[in-house]
Amino acid sequence: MAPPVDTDADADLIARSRTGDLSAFNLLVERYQTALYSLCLRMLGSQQAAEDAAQEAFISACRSLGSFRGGAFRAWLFRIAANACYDELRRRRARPAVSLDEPRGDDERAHDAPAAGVTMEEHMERLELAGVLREALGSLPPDQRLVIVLCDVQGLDYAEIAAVTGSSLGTVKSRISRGRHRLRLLLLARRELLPSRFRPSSEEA
Amino acid sequence: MPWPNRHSPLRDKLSPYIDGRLNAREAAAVEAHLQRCEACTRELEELRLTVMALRELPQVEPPRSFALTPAQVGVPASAQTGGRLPARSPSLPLIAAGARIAAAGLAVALAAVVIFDVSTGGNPSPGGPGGGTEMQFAADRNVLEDGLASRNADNSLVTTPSPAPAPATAPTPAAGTTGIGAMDGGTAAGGATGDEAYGGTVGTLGNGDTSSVPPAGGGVAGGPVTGGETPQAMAPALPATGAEAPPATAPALPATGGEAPQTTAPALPATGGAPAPTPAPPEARMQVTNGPSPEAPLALAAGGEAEQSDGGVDTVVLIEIALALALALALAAGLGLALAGRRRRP
Repeated sequence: MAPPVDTDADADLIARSRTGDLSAFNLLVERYQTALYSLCLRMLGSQQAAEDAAQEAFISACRSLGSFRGGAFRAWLFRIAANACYDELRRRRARPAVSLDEPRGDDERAHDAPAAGVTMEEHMERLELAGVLREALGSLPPDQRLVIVLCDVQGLDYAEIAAVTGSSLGTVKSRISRGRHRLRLLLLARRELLPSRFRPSSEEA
Repeated sequence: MPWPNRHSPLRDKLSPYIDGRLNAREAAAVEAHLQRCEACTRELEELRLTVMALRELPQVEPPRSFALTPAQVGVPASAQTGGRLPARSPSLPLIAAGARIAAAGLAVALAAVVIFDVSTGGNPSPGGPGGGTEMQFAADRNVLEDGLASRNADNSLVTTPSPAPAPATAPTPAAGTTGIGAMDGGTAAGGATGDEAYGGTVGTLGNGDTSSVPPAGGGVAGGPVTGGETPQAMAPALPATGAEAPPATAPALPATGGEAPQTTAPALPATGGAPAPTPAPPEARMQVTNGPSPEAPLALAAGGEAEQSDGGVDTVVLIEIALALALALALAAGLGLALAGRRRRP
């Protein structure tokens, strides 16, 4: 699911970035920007907000590179991005009128053509699924949304998620469990919108 | 979330079971239960489908590159050609914060001189060494508590009974609030810096600037102690500050200084301490020199040479003017840098 992480190459680029080499840092940006942007998009639901949060996260990461104490750079970066997302969510809470009016359906739909070998029908199905999932994810509490996105969308393991969220393995495990159960119910409620392969077999019987 | 049925302990294990996060014994227990429980079997399937659906969500290519430009990481324009990160040079917000702290410190020093000025009633000789220590004691108290008002009132009564109590007491509450205001200003500068620099984004990670500011605010609070000693002690420091001001801008500055309390100060959270002391100088000048009007600091500065026959009084007034100029400069620098910083943000 997640792209393979070349930690050796990371360490080299991080070391060079720390000496002030912006082009080295931008190689790190290039390497992680899709994952980071996707994380922000799943957390915030809107393209513009995700763009802002991702950019903000990279700027913050660059400025606070000195506080990176080794370990998984991806987890450290995701943590900064998650904080940027929480900030945005807090801002929305402070200005609820803005968030309610915010268009939510402007992510993949806008610029994704069907990939090669994918029929138009499958493409539409995926868009439909993405829409249902976006809505369902959006209705989870942010803490559960974050671990679900990290685990099931980004493909991180529990230990890495614990590093991102700064919580214990037990907390990660129970948040994922509660988030999945809640999503399960939300998807069941919208099962007619799901592609047939995602409908429980018991419903078809 | 409560599970309203008897399967609850096992239902919590279904999610980690999917991820293979159960030990052998737990997994065996779940499987044994699934053998005979249709509800849990169905739920497990639904959970699996949920996870499958989530895994279908693609990584989305960002609509643009997030590669950073030197400006985005706060590299000064002169260093941009090298594409260097701001590894050792202070960032723009930090400089802006420094300017604001300097402004707060100058405001405190100005207030201290004004208090001295008023409390000595414009006496050319500054009350002798006794008056000086008394003053410093009062200033110390000012740092620790808001007790300067009574202290200073006492002081003015002891050293110079001649000026009416009204002018002596009028500036002192302002000074009392100045100490607090400067402290608040320091912290406010920290908050503002953090917000402007990072948008509060990183939480624990991006707070380098913010955490460094309150100690500096403490330094500001120390201002009254040194500023309160004697005008002679202040005097050697002042030409240096004044020398920093480019001569070309000097004529323009008194006007800015005069406007500062009304216009720039409300816009700058850091200068919360400024409005309190700055109204004092005109009063003080009126009281001491009786001559120049408060709305003509430029004329006062020009007339300063003519009035130098008064000696000590003019030294104090000149110190006040110099401090006001330096304060205006620091305010302008802080405001300009803050605006520049905002403009540089993406």
